Amino acid sequence: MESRRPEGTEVVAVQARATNAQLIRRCLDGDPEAWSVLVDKYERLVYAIPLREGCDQEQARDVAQETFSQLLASLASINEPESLASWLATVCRREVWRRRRNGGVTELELVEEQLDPAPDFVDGYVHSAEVYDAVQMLPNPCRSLIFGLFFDPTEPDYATLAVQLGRPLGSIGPLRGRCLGQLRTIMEGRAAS
Amino acid sequence: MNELGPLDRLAQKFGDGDPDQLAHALRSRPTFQGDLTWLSQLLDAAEQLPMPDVPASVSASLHDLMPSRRDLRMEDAASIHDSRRDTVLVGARGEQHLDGWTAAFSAASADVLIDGDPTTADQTDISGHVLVRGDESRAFTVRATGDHNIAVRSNELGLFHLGSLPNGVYEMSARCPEFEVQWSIEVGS
Repeated sequence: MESRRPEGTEVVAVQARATNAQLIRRCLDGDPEAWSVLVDKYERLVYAIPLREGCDQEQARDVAQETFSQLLASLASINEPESLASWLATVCRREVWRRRRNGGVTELELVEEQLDPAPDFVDGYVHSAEVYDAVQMLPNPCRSLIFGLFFDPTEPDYATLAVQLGRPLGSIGPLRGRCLGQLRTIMEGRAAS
Repeated sequence: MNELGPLDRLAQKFGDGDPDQLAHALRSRPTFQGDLTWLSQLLDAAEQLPMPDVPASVSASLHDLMPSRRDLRMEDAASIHDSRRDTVLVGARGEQHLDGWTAAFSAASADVLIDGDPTTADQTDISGHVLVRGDESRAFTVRATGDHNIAVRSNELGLFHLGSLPNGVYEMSARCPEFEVQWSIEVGS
């Protein structure tokens, strides 16, 4: 069927699949819908990092708030929009360090070397963020399935995932194989670009 | 079997069957080692950073960071025409468009025209036009929420195309930086 899309229009979100470059440009145009899509896409990542670092939920909320505030203030200077997950992971980790240094994460036992950026640890988060970002690029049901299999801390079993996805239990294994193949293609494509 | 650890954890597949036979079959694949390495890296990355649900209050505060969201003027649009009901006006359409329909909605700041063309018994192609009151046209983000969720960006004249949607009731909105118009529509004949 011939496309009826008028000239000058574009799809900006089918669920969460608009590109970061498109979303950032629309945020800069004052489009709050684009901001909502960005938040939906990355709030789990930004909230998970401080929790992983030992923050409680209230501190994690503050770190997430500060990280997204910095994103909002920095939108015009994001040079690599498709690496936004890595950017957010780095800003988020630095915010945790800053709060530790200022006593904002008081219950943590502060070890001197933890006060300085630990590149390997940051790199680990960045790699996780890049994988998570690639998962976000998958169409559903693959996105939900891969998230459930790998990133959901409640570790839902196949039966639970089958119910969540509305699919027969026996279809989950083959679907997983196809979805992993798609994810690998996305990740290898991003690595090559 | 040690090298199968990541796969075992990944697929939860080798617990009750015959793991040795399966492992042999996997090892015989020329891509096995590469596949295993990739899966191991994937598993390591995921285990490094599990992603819990974000509390609703936290999510709401993050969404509200963009100030214009709070300043947005919200307007409900009322239905002023639907060719599926107002059959007297349908005579203006040609025979080839007998299955198509047009609906119009009106709000304080803009009117919205929606054209529906059934593509199958269960799907309808939806396009439309947001007409701002006054002389100035502008681009909108148009969203449909229902059995299928989609958001598109109109062109600068307010023309948009949502594509083929499953028939059903949708909540729709058209948003520009100053205001958002909302309406409900039943997609289908």
